[in-house]
Amino acid sequence: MGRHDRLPESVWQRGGVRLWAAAAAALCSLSMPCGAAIGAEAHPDFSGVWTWYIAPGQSPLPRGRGPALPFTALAKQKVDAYQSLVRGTSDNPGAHCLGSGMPASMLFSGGYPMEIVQHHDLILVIYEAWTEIRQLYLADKIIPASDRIPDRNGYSTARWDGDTLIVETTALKEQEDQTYPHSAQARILERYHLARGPKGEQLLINDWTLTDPLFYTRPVTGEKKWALDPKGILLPYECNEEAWLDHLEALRKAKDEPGKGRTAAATGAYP
Amino acid sequence: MNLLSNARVATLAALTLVAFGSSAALAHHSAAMYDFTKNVWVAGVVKDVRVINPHMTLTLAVANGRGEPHDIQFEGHSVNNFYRAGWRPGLVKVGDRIKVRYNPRKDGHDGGFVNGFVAANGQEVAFRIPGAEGAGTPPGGTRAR
Repeated sequence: MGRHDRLPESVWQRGGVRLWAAAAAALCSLSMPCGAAIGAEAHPDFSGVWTWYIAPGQSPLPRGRGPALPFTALAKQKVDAYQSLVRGTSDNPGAHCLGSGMPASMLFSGGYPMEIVQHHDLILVIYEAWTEIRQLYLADKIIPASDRIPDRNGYSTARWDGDTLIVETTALKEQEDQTYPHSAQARILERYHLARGPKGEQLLINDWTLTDPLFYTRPVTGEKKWALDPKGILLPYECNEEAWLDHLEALRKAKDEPGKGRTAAATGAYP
Repeated sequence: MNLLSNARVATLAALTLVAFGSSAALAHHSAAMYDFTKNVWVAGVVKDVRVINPHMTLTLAVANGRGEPHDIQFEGHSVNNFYRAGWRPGLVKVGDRIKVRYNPRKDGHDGGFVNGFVAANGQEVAFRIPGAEGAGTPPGGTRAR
C-alpha cells in the first residue's frame, strides 16, 4: 500500500467503523508508513495533494452564473457598492496578490492544487494559489473565541464525527469581494469525507454550509470535490515580488530624477 | 508534439481561468474583458516577457497590414500554470520570434489573454479550453516563423 492509498472502500462505506490503535499499528507494520499524521485513534487520512475533480460527463466549464444568492437588503447594498467600485476595472483581491479568503479559497482550490498535512491535533490545508494556509485546529490546540484574530480565512476548529471531519470557521472578516460575500458574523460549516469515484479515484468531498443572517436570508450550501493527485506537488506562488520591484524602480526614479516617480514611491504600499 | 497535449493540467488551468469569473481565485483579474470562447493566433518578436504571478505579461512586436511592426501587450496565465503546461525558465526570451494563442479582448482592441504559445525552438506550451474555437494547430504549422 503506497503513501496515498487509503483504506478499502468497503471500510469507508460502513459508516461509523472505527479503527483503533491496534489496527492502525497493524497496518503500519504491514504496509504503510505511519508517522505523526496517525494518531492513537485512526481517522481517515486526508494527507496529500488534491486537485479538481470533474466527474465523467460533467461539463468542465460552468454554465451560467447559477441561482441568485439570497442576500439580505444590507448585503445587496454592500455588494452593489463594491461591484460599482470595481466595475470596468481589472481589480479584485487576487490581482493585488491578496488571497481569496473563505469560502473562495476552499471552493476554487483544485485548479491550483491544495495540499493537506494531517496531524492529530492540527490539519494544515495549503492552497497553492497565493499560498493561502488554513489551520484546522483540533482538541487542545483550540483557543478561546475571544482570542481569535479575525482573518479573511477565519479561524477553524475541527473534530471527527466517525469518518467525517467537521470544520467550523468563524472569526471571518467582512468580505464583499467574495464569490460568496459575507459579513464578519458568518459561520462556515464543512463536512469532509473520503469516497471513491466511478473509476476508483480517491476523492475528497466537502459538504459546506455558509450561515450569515446579516448577509443571507437563509443558509447557502454546496458540495466541493477533489481528486487525489498521488504525484502532485505544490509549486511556490510568489505574487508580491513584482510590486516590490516596481516600488524600488519608483524609488530610483525619485532619487535619480527628482520629480519623477516621487509620487509612486511616496505612496508605495510597503511600509 | 500535439499542441493540446498535457490536457489534464491544461484543462484544469483553463477551468481555473474561466470558472471564476470576476471574483476569481484563478482568473485573478476580471475575466469579463476577454472572450474565452475564442482563440486567436499571432506571430511576432518578443520585446518584453515577464512570467510572474498572478499573470504573465508579454509585449510582442507584430507586423501590421503594411508590414510595419507595432507592439501588442498581452497578459496570460501565472508562472504556476505555465510551468505545469511545460514552460521552463529561459524558454521564451526577448528577441525570440514566437507564435501566441490568446483569448481576444471583447472591446476589439489589440491584445488578450495568452493561453498558449509556440516558442522559437518549436516547443509548444498550451492550455486547453474545451469547446473553444480554434483550439487546435496554429496556422502555418507548429514551428514559429
